[in-house]
Amino acid sequence: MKKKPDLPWIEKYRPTSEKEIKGFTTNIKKIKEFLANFESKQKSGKQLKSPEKAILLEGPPGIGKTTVVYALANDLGYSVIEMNASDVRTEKAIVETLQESISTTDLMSFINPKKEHRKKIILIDEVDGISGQSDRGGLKAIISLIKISKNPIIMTCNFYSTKFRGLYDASTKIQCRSLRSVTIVNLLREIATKEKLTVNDTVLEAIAGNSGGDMRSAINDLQALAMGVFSDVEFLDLHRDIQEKIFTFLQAMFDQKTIKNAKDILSNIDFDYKILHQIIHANLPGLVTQTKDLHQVIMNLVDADTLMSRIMTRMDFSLLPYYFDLVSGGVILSVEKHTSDSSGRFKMPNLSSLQFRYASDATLEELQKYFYKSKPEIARTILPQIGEIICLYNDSEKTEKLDILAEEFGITSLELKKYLQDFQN
Amino acid sequence: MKDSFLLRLKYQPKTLDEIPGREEMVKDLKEMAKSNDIPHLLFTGPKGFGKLEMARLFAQYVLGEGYNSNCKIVYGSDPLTQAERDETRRLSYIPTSRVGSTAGRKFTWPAFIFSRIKPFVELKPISFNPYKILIIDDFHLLSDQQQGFRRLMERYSAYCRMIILTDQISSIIDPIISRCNIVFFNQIPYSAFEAKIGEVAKQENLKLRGNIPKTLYIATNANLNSAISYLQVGSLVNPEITPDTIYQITKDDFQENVGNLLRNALSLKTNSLRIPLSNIKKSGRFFNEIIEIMGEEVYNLPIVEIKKASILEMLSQIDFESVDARSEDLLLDNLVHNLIEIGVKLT
Repeated sequence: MKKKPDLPWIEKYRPTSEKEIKGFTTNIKKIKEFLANFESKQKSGKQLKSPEKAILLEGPPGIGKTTVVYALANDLGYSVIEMNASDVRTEKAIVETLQESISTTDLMSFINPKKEHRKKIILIDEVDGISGQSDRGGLKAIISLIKISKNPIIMTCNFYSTKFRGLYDASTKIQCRSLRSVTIVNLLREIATKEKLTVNDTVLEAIAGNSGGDMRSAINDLQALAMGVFSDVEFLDLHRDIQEKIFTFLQAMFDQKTIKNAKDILSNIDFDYKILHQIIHANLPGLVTQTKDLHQVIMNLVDADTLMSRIMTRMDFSLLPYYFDLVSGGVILSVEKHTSDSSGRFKMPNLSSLQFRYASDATLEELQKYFYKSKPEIARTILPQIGEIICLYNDSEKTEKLDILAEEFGITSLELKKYLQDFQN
Repeated sequence: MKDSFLLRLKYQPKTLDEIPGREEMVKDLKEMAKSNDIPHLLFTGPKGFGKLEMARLFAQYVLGEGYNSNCKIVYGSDPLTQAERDETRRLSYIPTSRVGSTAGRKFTWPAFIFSRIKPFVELKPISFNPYKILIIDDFHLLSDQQQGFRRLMERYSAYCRMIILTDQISSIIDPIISRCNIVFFNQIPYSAFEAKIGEVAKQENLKLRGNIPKTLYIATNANLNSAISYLQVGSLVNPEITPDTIYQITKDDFQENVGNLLRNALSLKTNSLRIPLSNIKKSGRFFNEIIEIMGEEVYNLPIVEIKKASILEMLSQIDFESVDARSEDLLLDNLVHNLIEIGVKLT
């Protein structure tokens, strides 16, 4: 599984030709049309208008906007002059860099004499990175450059902003959607085969789902996985159906003999670690049956609970390793024999531990305005008191008193009646 | 406004001066309000000692007519509703269509602060009040979210003051305590309690036999609101209220359940533990109340004195440990198992 790659995969597998690009078909067609249009008009000596000379690719990061431009340029025999966010892009800098490149010939034309004059694409990457302060006048310079340029200009940006209004008028906008996860999965699978990785499809789907359409982050994730940043590929599975799997995990933890192994398993559960002890406690009946063992386990869990509460109130996270020791090793070592009942279902711990049994949330909120108590407290003390008072009247007076109360609290008497019936039972 | 049908609400204090037995504190707070710039406050004292009432009426006194719009009461023990959780989760993702460096990122906000505190403190006070007042009840229950208040208290202190209420000052983190002025609440003096009960009885034409105020004072732990409520119940049970009536209505089966739990666990009747346990959980009492009552029940057990001592020692140990713990279900299970262990040694 472990393998030291020489290049970041995102660079290693960057497509160099249109055929290698996944997705993006309609947008590629549009860019090609734009370039063909530009060329034919220039050849016939027609005057080109601003929007025909520049396009603006707009879309979320990591979907391959820049890559597409380079791949197309490679296919169609253009050379790319790039200016990206790492360059200074003040008015002066832009004019100097780009105007110079327009007037000089490409060095490659000497080496490659077949094409006496290689065509150029000017790529201005991440236009939205041009900031108002440090790149003063940058946008203005780009707009005026578009007017005088004899080469096609392609710009990329991530988001629409009102400060680009001038640019929008001077260019054709192409909206790029984020990639579908099927496309990303296909690409990841291809890379995995090339790298001789054995990864099952569920993991790839998990990575693709996590990336949210960002190809770059998906590839980076896959590489991190292969390099052993995650301990095992299979554990990524946990991103899905966590609740069903966690029970199997707990059983696996109880199977371990050493503290170290148990702790390792526990640390791979992708779950809120603050409530791990409560999860174990809620699921104990399916795992431990011996009363003596149970007591030992619970004592360890109480210690873990106390420790976690201290960590949280004092923000003292250096104690966290001991918490994991208690929850994993402390628990498994106190159990001599555990059941491996596979029919057991995962139970979530009852975290609020406060139950409003009779009254609805809306009623409690209404009553809160009069009694100034928290909702659980109203359900626990105030409502029984009201119930007691109403029940002491005889039947004829009861409905009358109920109506008075309902009117006073602005809730329907039906609700109170329902509550009282429950109360009497 | 029409008087409420429930005496408890009818005799609820309406202004700061009407609160019985707290003249000193009211005087101090009023002095503080004179400067027109109150500090953050922390009210601490046992449950039912009128902290929220004091905070609410003090806010009313300071804000005057702007009370309704510029004061909010937040309850730390109100569980978050599903709608609030969903809203927090939805807002934690900043869509890529938004401009800025945070676009497309995910944040995990503490749900309580995000859904209940922030919308209130972020807005400036309405009308002529120089600041808003936020009252937070049961602050200790926020546990790890307390950290979030450190920034909130400083950042919005220009126009929002907080009054924090708690009955467990040991669970509140030091940075919060150092930002607040602390006010301690004691039991209200018996004389004030007696006077108020007498006033209610006179107004409502209730007939009291025997030393009713003293009985109520002990039974309700000096909580006037519930004492008045018991008076109403008592007057309906029996036209002439006697101490026996009060005992009858204040008694509940909680004590009985705790006693059953103790006896069944010690005599190793593990099958009959479930009913008292579920009843205790249902009653929603706090864990320290269970320990307290169990401690009383131990004296009545038919065992040798030295064994009782060992049970009491175990209870004190658990009580001490429970100060920092959070999961009450876990504590209760631990208690039962400890009792069973002692039961095994007894036989």
